[in-house]
Amino acid sequence: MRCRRICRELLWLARFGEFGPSSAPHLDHLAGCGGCRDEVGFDRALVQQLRIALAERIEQAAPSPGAWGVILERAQAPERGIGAFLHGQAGVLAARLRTATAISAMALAGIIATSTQVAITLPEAGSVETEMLTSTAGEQFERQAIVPRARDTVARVPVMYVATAAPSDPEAAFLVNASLPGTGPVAVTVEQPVESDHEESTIESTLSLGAPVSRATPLDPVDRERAQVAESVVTLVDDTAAGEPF
Amino acid sequence: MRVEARQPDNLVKRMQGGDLDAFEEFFNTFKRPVYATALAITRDPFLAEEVLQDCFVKTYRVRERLDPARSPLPWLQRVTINLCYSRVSRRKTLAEPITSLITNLVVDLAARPDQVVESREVLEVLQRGIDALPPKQQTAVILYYLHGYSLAEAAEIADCNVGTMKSRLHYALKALRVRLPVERRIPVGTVATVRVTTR
Repeated sequence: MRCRRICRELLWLARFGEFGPSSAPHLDHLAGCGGCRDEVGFDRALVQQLRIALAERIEQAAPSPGAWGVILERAQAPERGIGAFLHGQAGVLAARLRTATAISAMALAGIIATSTQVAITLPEAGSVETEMLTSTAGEQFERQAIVPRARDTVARVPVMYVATAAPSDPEAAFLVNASLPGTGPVAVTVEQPVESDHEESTIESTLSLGAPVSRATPLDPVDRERAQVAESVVTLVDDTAAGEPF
Repeated sequence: MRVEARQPDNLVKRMQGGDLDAFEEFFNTFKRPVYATALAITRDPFLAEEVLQDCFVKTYRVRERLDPARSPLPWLQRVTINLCYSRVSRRKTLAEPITSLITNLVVDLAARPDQVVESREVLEVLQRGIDALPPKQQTAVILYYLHGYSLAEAAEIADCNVGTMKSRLHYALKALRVRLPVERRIPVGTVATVRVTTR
């Protein structure tokens, strides 16, 4: 066997006092090897010093005379089980809640009494909080999976333009009707006055845009002859403005 | 040093019956080994006394679970060790040991001054080395070298097998050995040749 291995086994045997008949080769080696003797001797000296060092730690150590009294008092005290512990904690929690409620009520009463305006301030733009908020929201948006969605199939409802009140001025009514889409007859809703038993009714009038109406009237039979003469000379011209009532 | 703590007959049974005199006798019987273990680990007399009180209060409260046929000392030692390490870890740092301060001041006047200084230095290194050991190795050293328990008893207290206890002791001594200066590793009275072991 090698010296180092024998030395290691010798140390093990010496530390735990396990020398026996099988240890004869080790003892023979120890008798002839100075290095192993040094190692084993040092180990024994180390253990001896270790015992002294440990004994120093508890030198003349004894518990105080009052220790028994304290132990007896604590041992006879009612043991605090889990129920007692929770009960005690619940009491503490209730007391704290009562205090917090009272403080809040007092603060609220003070605010109301002094009519103090309470401004809830939001984090300023560009601050660390908002930066973190926006960056988090942005990251969440970027992580969202893109899912194709069907197009909106709801039929669109055509928009109908209805005048809620008929303009009092016929010319304005004409302009409104002219500006509305479509060229045909236009339905115009006219709100009836309140006096008709609160019933709403719709009056539909049709405005025909045709040829201008002439103001010419049949001639007087007395002047028929003069008219016949004049008819050959004078051509009657209608100078009435189109659309003007007569 | 072997601390003898023999259990008087029917002590646990009487204590289980609520006999406070039996409990006091129980305390007086086992207080020294328990306190010694606590003090060796914590190195603080006040903390050690707190651990002692906690240990015996706990013992009284769970006295119904003790086996009257067996010595309660291994169980007491295990409780003490657990209490010590829970408190030490709570405190994070050990207080300055008063006992070591006293020991530093009171030296053996019969010894030669150079030997006193040398021995003192080695002991200081060892004390720091013991403090720096992992809890399991520290426990093994205290049980085996301080209390003088056998390997089987120490293993029972530490809740491990004998081989594990041997291994812990081996590594503890190895760690302590490394801490010593090279010139101190040669025991007094051996050959003068210096041999540095490479491991």
